[in-house]
Amino acid sequence: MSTGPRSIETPRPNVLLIEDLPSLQLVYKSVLMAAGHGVRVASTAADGMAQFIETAPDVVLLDLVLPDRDGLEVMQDMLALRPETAIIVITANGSINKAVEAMRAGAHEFLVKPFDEQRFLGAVTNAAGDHSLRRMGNPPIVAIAKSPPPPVASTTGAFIGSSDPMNRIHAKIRSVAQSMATVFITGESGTGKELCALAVHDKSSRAAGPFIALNCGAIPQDLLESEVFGHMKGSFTGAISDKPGAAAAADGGTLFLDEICEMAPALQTKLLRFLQTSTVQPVGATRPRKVNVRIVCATNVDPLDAVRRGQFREDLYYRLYVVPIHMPPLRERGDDVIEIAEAALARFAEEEGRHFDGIAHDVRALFRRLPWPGNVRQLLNVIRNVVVLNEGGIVTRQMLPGDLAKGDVMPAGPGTLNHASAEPGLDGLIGKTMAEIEQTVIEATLARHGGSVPKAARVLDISPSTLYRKIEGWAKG
Amino acid sequence: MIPDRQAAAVRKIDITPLRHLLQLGTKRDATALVSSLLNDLQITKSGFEQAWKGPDFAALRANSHVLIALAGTIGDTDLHGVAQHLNGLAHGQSTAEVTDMKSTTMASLDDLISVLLHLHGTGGT
Repeated sequence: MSTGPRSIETPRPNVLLIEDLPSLQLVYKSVLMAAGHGVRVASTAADGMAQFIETAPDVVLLDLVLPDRDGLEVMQDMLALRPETAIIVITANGSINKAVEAMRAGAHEFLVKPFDEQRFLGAVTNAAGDHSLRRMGNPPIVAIAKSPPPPVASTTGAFIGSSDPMNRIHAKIRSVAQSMATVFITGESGTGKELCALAVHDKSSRAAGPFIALNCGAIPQDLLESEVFGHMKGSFTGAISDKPGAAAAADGGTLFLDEICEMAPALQTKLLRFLQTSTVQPVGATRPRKVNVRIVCATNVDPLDAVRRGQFREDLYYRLYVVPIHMPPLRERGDDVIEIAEAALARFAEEEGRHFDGIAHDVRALFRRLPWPGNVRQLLNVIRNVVVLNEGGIVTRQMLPGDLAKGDVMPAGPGTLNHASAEPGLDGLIGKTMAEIEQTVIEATLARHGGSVPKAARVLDISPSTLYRKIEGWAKG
Repeated sequence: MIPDRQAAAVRKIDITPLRHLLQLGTKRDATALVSSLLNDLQITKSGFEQAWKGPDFAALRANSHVLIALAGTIGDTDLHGVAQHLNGLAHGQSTAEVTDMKSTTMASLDDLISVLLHLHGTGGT
């Protein structure tokens, strides 16, 4: 076989190919060899396992249906022997569930037959790069620093806590971090989905690379493509310079796509293509660029329900929903609410130059009892409110925001909303600006739903995080 | 090369993806690949012939999976589509529906085999 041009910066791993169909063996082998890879071939699980032990390949291409044994079992045996091996499973069209099962069990990537040369080589190259990282122990990959830490309100708390649900989350993060598998985080608004994504990144072999977070629900849809894939100068009105986009900026690291179910259908198609080819083509660019990115995404809605309603592509769902992690709501985390409140109190007090002596027993009891519809974010807002509005001492019930102190209605934000206000009639709205009308209607909706942001958001048909941003904006403004 | 009239005589099959694969290696590699594809397609055809007698839905699923992979790799999009459809019907286990697909599937498979036989006769290039 002839050998194609070699790129000096791309590692060329030894590949073990396990495929029982002779013609596909030849196809895969010729493509890999033309790309400069060393290839060993096996037709059965037994032969494949023997060669795996003998040659310790960097990458294994494994057909999941083999004549003598289930490919999934073979993969698990291989990973037990050499966990750093990148295993790409190949499956027949129509067996996506099997591929998803393999990804959950530690496969690096999956390919669906029939063969697509670009995707095939892309997967092997990505696997090779990731394997090198695992072997070398987190060398710097690109000169892009991690994105700035998120606001304090979300840096304290979500990962404090020793409840059983959180212990299970930590265990899952540890087991999935070293894989290339896409992580799909679900959970109510305010439960710490971005912190969970950051934890997955920090424990992975890409920890030295960038962590780029993008909220698909917070960016106008017409700008989202440019934000994700970038644009070239002059490609549209307002594109005054080249912009790399989040996918390229995350090269060598992790791209976190929050509120993924709010992505427009057209962009979902492009994201699917990106996941299949590992290439990005900025708006206005003439050729695509290869990137090595791990995707972590999150949503506060039921993604399968979004698929059923036709709002989210089913094929994209199966591509992304490989390792699900569900962040539990604060009300199901037992005494974590106290641990988080104490940690936040200490941190915010230090930031504000105040001294607090802890939380009174009756406030602790109240905190344990409350349903916390806004979850950790809401708790942090309450503690911030207490620290800002009080000089210090023990946190008592009287220091809490009005309705919270009564223990009957939940505040949605830092004590800024008047939930008891009368609902607006049309006459009361006339003469107000659109912004004022929006705020009035939102406040009235919140009041009708007992201050529950998720419930109000559902009625208003906007995401809870959008609602929180608006509330926080009013508090600041 | 396959003369245009050869392809037109059966069914128009654009085997550009296969031609690209054949050019990756030596002429000997190309001949070996065409032989191997022919062999795998013949085995699949025999498998189908047996499977339709029952019909044996599991065998129909297995053989259609192989055909999806082979036809897709070669670039025969029509047969690839037929195989995908048959696979779905075999999962549904409807005897009438899979039986209806028999003639189309076998004729399309024969067309592809004819094209590959001709290719093999010209040295696989």
